[in-house]
Amino acid sequence: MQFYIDIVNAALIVAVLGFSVNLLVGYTGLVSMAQGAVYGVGSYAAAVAATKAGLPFPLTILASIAAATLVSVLMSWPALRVKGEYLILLTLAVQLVLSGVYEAWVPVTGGTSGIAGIPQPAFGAEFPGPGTLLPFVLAVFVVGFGVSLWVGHSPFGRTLRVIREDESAAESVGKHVTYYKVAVFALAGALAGLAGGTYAHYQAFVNPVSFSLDQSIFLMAVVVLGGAGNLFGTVIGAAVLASFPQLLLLANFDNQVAAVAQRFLYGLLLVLFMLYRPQGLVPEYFRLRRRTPGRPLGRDLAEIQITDLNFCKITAKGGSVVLRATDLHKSFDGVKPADGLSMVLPAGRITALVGPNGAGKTTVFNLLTGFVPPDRGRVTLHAEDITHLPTWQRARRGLVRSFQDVRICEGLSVLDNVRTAIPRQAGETVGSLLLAPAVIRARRAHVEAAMSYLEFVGLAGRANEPAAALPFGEHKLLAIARLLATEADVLLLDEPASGVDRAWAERVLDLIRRLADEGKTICLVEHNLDVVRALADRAYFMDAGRIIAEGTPEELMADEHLAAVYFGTRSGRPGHAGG
Amino acid sequence: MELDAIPQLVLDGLLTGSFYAMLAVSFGLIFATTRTFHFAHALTLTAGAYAAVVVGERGLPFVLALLAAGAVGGAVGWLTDAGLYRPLRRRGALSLNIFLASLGLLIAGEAVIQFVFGPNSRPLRGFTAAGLQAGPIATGTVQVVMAGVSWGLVILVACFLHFTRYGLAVRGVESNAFLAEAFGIDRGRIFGLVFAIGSVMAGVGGALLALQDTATPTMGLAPILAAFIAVFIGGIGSVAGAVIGGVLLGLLEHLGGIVLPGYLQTIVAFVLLFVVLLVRPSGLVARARG
Repeated sequence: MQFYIDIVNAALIVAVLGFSVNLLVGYTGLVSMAQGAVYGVGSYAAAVAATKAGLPFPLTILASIAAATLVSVLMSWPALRVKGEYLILLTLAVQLVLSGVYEAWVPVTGGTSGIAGIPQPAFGAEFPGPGTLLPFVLAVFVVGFGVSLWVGHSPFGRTLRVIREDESAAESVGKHVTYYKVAVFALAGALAGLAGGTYAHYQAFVNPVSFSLDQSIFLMAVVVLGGAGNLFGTVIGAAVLASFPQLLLLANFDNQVAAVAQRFLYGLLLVLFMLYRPQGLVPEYFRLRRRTPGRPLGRDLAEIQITDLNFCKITAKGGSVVLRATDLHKSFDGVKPADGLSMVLPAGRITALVGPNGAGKTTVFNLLTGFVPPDRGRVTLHAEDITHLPTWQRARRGLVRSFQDVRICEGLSVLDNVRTAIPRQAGETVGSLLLAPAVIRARRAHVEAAMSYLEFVGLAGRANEPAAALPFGEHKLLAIARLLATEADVLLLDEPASGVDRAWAERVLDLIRRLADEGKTICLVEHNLDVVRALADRAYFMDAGRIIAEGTPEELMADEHLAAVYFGTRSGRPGHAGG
Repeated sequence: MELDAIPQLVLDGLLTGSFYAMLAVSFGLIFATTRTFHFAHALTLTAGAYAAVVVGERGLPFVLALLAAGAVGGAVGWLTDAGLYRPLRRRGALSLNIFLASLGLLIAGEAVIQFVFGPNSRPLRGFTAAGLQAGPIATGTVQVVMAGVSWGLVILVACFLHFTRYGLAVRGVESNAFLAEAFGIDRGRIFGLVFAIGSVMAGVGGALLALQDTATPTMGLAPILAAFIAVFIGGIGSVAGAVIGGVLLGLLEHLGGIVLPGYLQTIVAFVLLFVVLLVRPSGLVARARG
């Protein structure tokens, strides 16, 4: 009996470690090959605190959580600067350095022989064993699972997924990506520390073997086989992979053979799953149905009052300058996509930016929203200098953009794509997550708000589908819904209607016009001159990084010189003023 | 601080560094061309080592053992590409998933080697090692053979890349796979080719390592990690960068001993990697891309 309870306890501890890895890798897309070593930090902290500092039992667990969190946050500092393979290599380096420390720092860690004699909490029993410790381990598992589920399914967790899918999309709707990454490293460290402290007290003994690279790889396998991004999958993965070698022992295999067989098994499973079921046993959106029947595809535009929606309280008066760019310069290796560029966007007006391919129109959006810092020049929003603010802060001040390549998060549901963009959500930050009632209360309101944006663009009926299931044209509509959800009052739209079905394009244009009527400040990059003529109050004509003319769309289009530039038969002459 | 030991340490560093340089070129060629984080390169190295050990135990000459290691290594690497990475790429797998599959293959493959050959270390027979002495500096024939074979392979690969049509095709795919395909280069075949070439080198590397130490089922990871680090330090996509990264790593590992206690020496490589990744992420020998 004790033998089976031991297996259960081991699997429960592995599951808590799995949550830590899953939040990093599955949710946020940050691959860490160092979680085994961070687990070790927690274990050694508890072991040293108990045996050398004489700290009593529950406090030692706090010590392990604190130590592992600290190390994990320290690791996030270099980890935030690299991506992809570089991050894998860097965390691998952290793992190997820490493994080396465990083996070499004999006075503290006891070297390869480790630390023995860690007191086991007795809970009243005369001889503590797996059975008497089960409630303790189970409680740790429940806490770990509860915290992970709460965080993973909160607005905070949703933002982590958005970061995984597309960091620039997260920034563009006002999320401070660095904050989230550090926070998730801290959380993953805390969970690994909790598991580590528990392990030290459960085994009464720690040595470096348990915290090696093999452990990190094993944890990765647990998460990936269970299903990255799904915490229930991690529980299943932990149960299967942690119990397997134990069960081999039952079948009279000797210890060493069982260990090798376990390695063979999870190695092979990793390969097979990557080939045939990369989403894991329990996919991220396990309960997600492909199609939700019943709801009509959005009400008619006329039925919806824009004032129904949570659109932001627009303060600027119609016609007053909201956004001003002055003398922006940018050069990339001699190419100058912005060469002394100035423009203003007035409130309640639609301003178009036209010009031939390569004129630098998208660069203007990048400069205005802070994706690319200007070499020289100034950008002000509501008379505040925002030239040096990062993208996410500009978004929070009400300046957002759409992307030509849309950048929808395909791994999230349609609803979640929009819901993420709603500003100032309860449960979006670590602090606000602690106020559970407020988070739960706000959830309903945010779903309703997101649904109303989706209704507005006609996607309400597909709210629960994965965004990947939508065709490209509907991605554009979804992107607009996401943009509206930010409640920003300055919208920079990069080809909002191109690639959209004609009927829907009409709808999008209608929508844009109504947004302007409501007082939003809109800037439009568009190739379709009919669209520009139909929508824009004023237009800037760009060529080679400069504004070469401005006026009403009709005035610009009547100018033969500009037409020649536009269709590429002549290059622009700076200084020529149309209209 | 023993300054007298510096010439000896420099020599040791250069010899080890030559070996790292060869492994770095072998991994760098695969990584730069196919963008596969080929963790199972470590398995290729181990397979080569055991192939050499088996040949050596038959009493056959050392050169045959090296050839066998190269052949088995090349075959393992090519098969890994054809049997694992190619299907994954065809399914549009994320690079993270390809990395995880590679990791799985390494773990499973090491377990198989342990089943077949046992967990104990196996020496490579058939080569009589001797010491070499020149004044205060000493080394062994084994180290000289390692460095010599390593440089031979690096020069062969560099010549292949720069003076042959296939080498040109490899460089074409590396700098722009899409464009290269438009010019009629079969990307899949080029991938297979670089996997084969890189893996022959890793296999031979395994044999050399077994000659210096012994063959064990888990011998592959440490030298391949050194190769990863050398590539990322030196800069991806450049033979010269990989060589410089490898030699630098070898030198640092040995010279680090002057100022650092022994147990910290292994950390030197990672500290170097840290610094380079943070300060100059494109590597020391960054190559201009069009």
